[in-house]
Amino acid sequence: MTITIIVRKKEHTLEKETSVMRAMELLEVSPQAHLAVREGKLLTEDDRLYHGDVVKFVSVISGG
Amino acid sequence: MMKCKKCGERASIKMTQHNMALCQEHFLDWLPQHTQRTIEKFRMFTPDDKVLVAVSGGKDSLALWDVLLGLGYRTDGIYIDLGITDPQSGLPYSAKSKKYSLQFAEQHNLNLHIVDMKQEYGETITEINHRVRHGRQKPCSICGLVKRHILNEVTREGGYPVLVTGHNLDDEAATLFGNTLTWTVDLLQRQAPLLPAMSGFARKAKPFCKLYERETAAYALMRNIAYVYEECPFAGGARTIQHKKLLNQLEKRSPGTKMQFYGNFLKAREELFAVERQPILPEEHCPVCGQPTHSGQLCAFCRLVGKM
Repeated sequence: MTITIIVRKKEHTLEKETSVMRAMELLEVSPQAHLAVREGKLLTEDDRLYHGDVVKFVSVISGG
Repeated sequence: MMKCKKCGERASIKMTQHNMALCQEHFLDWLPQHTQRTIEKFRMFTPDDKVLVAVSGGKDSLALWDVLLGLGYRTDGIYIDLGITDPQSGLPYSAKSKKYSLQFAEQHNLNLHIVDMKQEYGETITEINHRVRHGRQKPCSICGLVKRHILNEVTREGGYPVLVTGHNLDDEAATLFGNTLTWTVDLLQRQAPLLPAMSGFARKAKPFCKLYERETAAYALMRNIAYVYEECPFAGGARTIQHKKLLNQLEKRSPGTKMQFYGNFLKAREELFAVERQPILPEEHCPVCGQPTHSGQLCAFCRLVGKM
């Protein structure tokens, strides 16, 4: 079992259960500029990610 | 597990700069109340005013429209179809953002003005950029000019007392950062949550100017508002986005930095610009469209589209 994380339409796989914050650090995703969403619900940085989870890190930065 | 400050249930969002975490239910109460306080603090508009909301199909403008509706304000929307397609993929960006804007308006039975660049002026933004700059530069400055002109025109011609935009605190802080790096005093002076109507310019307000981008996105997600996730295909590498990333690095080290930077600027600007220097406003009007211009001749917009 693994954890699937989707960042900008790209899928990443984590082997070990971890927190949202740690997953963001591993994938070099800024928690200030992203929200974590699992099954349509927002997660905070210290929420745990479990095997089988599919989590999306949604970028919140817009503009140009 | 992080807990909601109000009810102790599982929190859905942590806002470190406020030292507060909230569950979905209380966040969806908090954000509109915060927006209402901003509207009142800066005397942006009242429930008697019919507000025109500039809608792009993105999270901020649609979340703002949703919040204003929930607060009981009377609103119409304005969407500008710029005709932007992704130069790499060929995918229609504007078509997607228009779809979400229309969808929101239809779901809530709201009036949405649509100005189609191709239909109204014969060319899309991308086509104008190719004609004027041979496509060698990004069309962002042209896009800004076109949007400012059309939004001002529709607001004034429609008799709306105020135009509201979804600019959030990250937008404002990034703009402030850029204008401070270059000490562009005119732009610093004009940066405010509320710009009163003057010299042919409509009144403009930014009710989300004290909310982090993360919060407006969270609101849109929690409210299941369908919005265009992708950035404009021309936004990649844009200076504003670079500045946002830099500010987020500072925010990570010191939560509240963005809020202080912008908030303290708003306090300082009252002293900085109170007496010494009046804004440079155009006193002439364009003979074609009647909008303000410094030159007394055709305004920049009419010069741009007049070549079509």
